[in-house]
Amino acid sequence: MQNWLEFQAVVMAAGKGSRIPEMTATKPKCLLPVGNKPMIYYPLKMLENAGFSETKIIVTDNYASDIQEEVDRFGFEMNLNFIPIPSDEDWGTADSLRHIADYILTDVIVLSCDLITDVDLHNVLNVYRNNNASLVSLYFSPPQDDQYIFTVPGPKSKNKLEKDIIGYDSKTSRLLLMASASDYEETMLLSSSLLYKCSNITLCSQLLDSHMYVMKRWLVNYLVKDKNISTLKGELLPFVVKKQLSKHCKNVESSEKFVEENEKPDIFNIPKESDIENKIRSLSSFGSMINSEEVIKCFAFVVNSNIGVRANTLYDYCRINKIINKLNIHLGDEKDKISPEAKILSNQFDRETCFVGSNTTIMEKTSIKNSTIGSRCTVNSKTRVTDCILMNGVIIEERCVLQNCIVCHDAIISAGCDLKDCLISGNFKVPPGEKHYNEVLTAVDRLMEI
Amino acid sequence: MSSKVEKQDVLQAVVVASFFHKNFWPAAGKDDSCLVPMVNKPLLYYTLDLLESSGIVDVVLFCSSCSTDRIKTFVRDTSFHRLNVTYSSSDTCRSFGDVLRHLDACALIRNDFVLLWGNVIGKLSLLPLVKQFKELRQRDKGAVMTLIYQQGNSDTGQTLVLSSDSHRVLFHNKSRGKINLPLELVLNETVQIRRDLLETNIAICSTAVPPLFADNFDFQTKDDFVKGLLINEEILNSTLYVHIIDKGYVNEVFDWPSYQKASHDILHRWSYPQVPEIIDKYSLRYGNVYFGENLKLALTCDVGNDTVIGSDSIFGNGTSIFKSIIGKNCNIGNNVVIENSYLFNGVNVKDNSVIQYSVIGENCLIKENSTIIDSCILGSNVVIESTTELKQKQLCSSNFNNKMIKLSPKAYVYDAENDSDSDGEQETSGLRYHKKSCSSYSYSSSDNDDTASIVASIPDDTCMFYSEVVDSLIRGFEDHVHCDNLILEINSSRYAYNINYREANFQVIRAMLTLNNKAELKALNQVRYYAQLQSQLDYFMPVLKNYIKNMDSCEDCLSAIEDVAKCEDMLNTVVVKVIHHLYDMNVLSEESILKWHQKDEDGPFSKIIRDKTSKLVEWLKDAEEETDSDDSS
Repeated sequence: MQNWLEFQAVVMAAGKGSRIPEMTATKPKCLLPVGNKPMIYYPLKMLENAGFSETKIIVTDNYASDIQEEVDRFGFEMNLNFIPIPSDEDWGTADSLRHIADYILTDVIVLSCDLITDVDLHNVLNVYRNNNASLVSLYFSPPQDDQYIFTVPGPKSKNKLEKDIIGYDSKTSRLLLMASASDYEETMLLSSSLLYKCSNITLCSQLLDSHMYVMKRWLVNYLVKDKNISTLKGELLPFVVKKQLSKHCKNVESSEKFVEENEKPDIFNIPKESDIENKIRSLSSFGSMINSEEVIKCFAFVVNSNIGVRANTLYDYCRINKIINKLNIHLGDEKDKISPEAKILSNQFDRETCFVGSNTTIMEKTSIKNSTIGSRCTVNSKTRVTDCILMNGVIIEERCVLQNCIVCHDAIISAGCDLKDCLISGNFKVPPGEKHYNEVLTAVDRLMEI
Repeated sequence: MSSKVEKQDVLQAVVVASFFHKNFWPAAGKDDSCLVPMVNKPLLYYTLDLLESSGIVDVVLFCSSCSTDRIKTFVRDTSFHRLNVTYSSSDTCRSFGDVLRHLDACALIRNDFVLLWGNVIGKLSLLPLVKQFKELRQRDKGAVMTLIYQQGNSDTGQTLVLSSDSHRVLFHNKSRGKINLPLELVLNETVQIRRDLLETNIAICSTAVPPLFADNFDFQTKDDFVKGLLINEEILNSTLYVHIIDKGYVNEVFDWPSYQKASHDILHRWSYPQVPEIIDKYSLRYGNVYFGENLKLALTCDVGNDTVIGSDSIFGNGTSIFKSIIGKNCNIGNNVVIENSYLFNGVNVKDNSVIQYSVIGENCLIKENSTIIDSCILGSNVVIESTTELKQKQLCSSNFNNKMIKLSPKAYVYDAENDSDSDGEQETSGLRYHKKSCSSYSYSSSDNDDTASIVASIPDDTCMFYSEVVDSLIRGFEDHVHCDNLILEINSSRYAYNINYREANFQVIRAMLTLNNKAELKALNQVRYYAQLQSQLDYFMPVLKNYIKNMDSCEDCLSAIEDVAKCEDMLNTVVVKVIHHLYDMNVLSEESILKWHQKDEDGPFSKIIRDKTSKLVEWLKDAEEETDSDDSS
């Protein structure tokens, strides 16, 4: 395996999953199953496929051992370096990156644990290399095909997205504007410096930010200097993107100031060229031309063809579970899809569309379709399970009908239940014979914790 | 198939050959602007040629009734064989909107049509675009117009916001600088913000366009139309689209800067096949030099790059031409210099004249040793007398509204400032003219001018302040104005030119010592000079006391005296007396004099003046000791 010295990878897996509290109350977000594997498996697999031999994973300290145990079971060949951060202090992604700044020696790729995509990482890196970019961010076009229309379990609610407005140069796809729609009221002001910079801007509010960033080492240095920034997407990116437009004056005065007051470091003083870059420049016949190059250059890599999902909302989590089969990701052999240790006695079990974990028992006279079933589950006879996600340790008793449900770990569905479009939270026991539609079934006291 | 049905299918083009602006005045009038020569062909020729080459047969040409005959003659003479031109004219039309209302009233439009002005040059195949428009109408019934833009490279100043996939116009802003974009536009779909689109003035319209103009009588221009449709999108239920051409060349000519640009493009063959040797009889030489037929060029005449010389022209010895377009039948004398200029047909330039950055109208006569530079525009038949110098002037051959200044019997200068009833229309033409002179003609030189003026303006303020103070003081002394009023006057000048306190002290003293001009000084001898100076100083004593109050101001006063004495011998001889007098009058304190004297200055003069005053200083020191001893005793 090739040893990459060009980039270091960091996977942010300390997210609390605050958008899906029903499922993440007792389990870290990164371990929620997608196609029978914890979702963190997918970004790690992508890094390993791209040739990385070492990855840092940021986890919260209370779940560190759980996550490590789960991930180790997949036997990644690359070195996984788990870095715990305090779970009780609300650290953002930038805080986490600042925490490990000493270990970051090269340019860095930051991924989120909930990113599931079949994009080739090399394409993104090539954009970064070709443009000598300071930062490259990956965006997905909104899904065009409507064939994945489905009902989200739980109460019917408008799937209201926080809309980000991204502006990029239509030709060079240079990232020029990043804002949240909520920043504006009725109109958005486009500054003349922005319009001057680029005469053909594409503005889009539908793009999905993958939270995958490739950035220069000096940006991490800047993060260390500016302690006010706590998140990458919310604060660092808009700041850096905006700074592209401002003029950079190289006077001595500013650098002196920078020494004096450490609170507001000038971002333009941070970027430093490596020796090799200096040498290349001095030997190049274009030397003087390149010298006038801008210091900060952000680019957007907008993907149209591939599928990319951030499973951080209930909608997206359901969606990725439904389309994971179709993704161009190698999910392993048949034995990984349906564990050989599972005991499947059902004769109406659709092997093509289902995932089953180890030590799961599926009794006779059951019908299972389009479902993901974790390990240690028991599905008793005379039960029908369609379009469902059953996490680990779920017990479904006899004569149940489950349609389009998410059943969290160690929940028990008692005999004779009829559940449709429901979300059953962890350790909950549904009493026998109940019928529920479009509901979240949870122990009230557990939700109060959040 | 009946002939009537066929007639329905024939694609029509509407050419608006009346521009409703006077941008080309006085070289071309308001009504016949479309006939202004562009590389020795009327502008309208290029538009009609574009239509003919794109396969359009049926053309409706709108022109104002007074220019109809000229345009008819031109079209007949040029023989556009394939075009079937219908003329439509009206006296009441005052704007582009009126023209479309007129068309609506005449019911000349049968189907979707191409709408363009008579100022478009270039080549564009319109039929595929019309086909696209018809397809578009199938999808969007509300589509009324496709505006055609050319892909440019640089910032054009106007902002268009388009829907990314359909190229529907969502927002339009003509002004530079920041824009306020309605948020809902961005949230609904992906949009493109385009600032790199060049207007071509060609639009493909549905039959709904003329009635829309008729219904909305406040639509005067196409911009009004676009703006109105975007604002009242729901009410009017009409949508606009944009088509962007990224290859080929289409350009519009609407004022002198764009005229220059288009001429340049034609000479550089961007507009091929609309290049001189194809549209007329020219031979192309190296360096984009186009020679017409029957030229008589003297052996010693120098023809530089990017030049067109119309047929039957005559050039004298030692004449040099550079980046210029010379019309037909021109007669240029000896040692004439013509640079970056446009001479229309039949111009006669006599020996030793210079023409730079100017437009000379038809049949003008420029007599010997004249200089016409910096965006002069001469109307037709102007006669410039010999050794005339013209700069940034617009000239006509007759005084048509009695507001012109007479230069010679056949040359009247348009006076933009004194034209009292110049309404908005005329203002724009003035602006264009101004724009021409400073922005487009020579970027580098105008830039230099700008920086130079900025540099000059910094010390200028002080100079202006000084001269105003001198004026105030002279007038004050002669008319015996009260000193308080003078102080008020000086202070107001000080604020006007933003002069700081110490600078003001310095300049006031300087002014006071230099009230007499050189001639007067010569007449005075030393004694009388001092007598007069003393009387002046006594008169201005309240002013002096007002400004010279403390140590710092005394210092300023002394340095001002030193400064003036340095340049003026007369004062130099009496400088000790002046300082002594001011000391006696309690204006200067002895402390300040001593301090000034001790201060070591470089330069021989400051030494001389200090030597001169050393006696006074010693006396002062003695006096000080005396007072000291008096105090102690």
